[in-house]
Amino acid sequence: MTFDTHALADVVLADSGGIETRLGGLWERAPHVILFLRHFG
Amino acid sequence: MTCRERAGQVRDRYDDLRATGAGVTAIGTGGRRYAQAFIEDESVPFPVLLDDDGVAADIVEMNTLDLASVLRPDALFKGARTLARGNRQHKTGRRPTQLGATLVLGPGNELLYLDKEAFAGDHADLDDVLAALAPD
Repeated sequence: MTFDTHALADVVLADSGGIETRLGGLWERAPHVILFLRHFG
Repeated sequence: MTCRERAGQVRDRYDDLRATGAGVTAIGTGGRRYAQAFIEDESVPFPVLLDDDGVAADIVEMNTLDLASVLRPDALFKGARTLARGNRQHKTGRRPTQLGATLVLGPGNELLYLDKEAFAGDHADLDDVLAALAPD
């Protein structure tokens, strides 16, 4: 039921403005809720 | 339940989530323009990132939509309830069979909470998420 959290941390994704975020940076200092949505519909 | 309805649920509890000291970010599939419309239409207060190629989703190994999950009684009930509330399915992204998930990660890449949807609309209870953020 788990997965490679270190691999997820290394993923870099962009927002709608093209600004990139390394996911691991989000929870580096404090817990972070990640919501995977099926789509934006 | 549509993803927009889910975004509204989280938006309505956003202050509670932030009060624990945690951040919130959504990840979804779809183009930039469609993501921006989603943010504006639903007044989404948290960042939204695009995972159109499913790089992050594949690492988490999300469940996928299939006929059995669509025909589950609880899935049919939630779908009917969503329609009754006036929500409608908008355009889907490039990965329409991908289901969602809710995660809480912390320093050291520690996984504090994980809930993968078993069917469309099978979203994590936000009270459970809050409990994972503030276990005491």
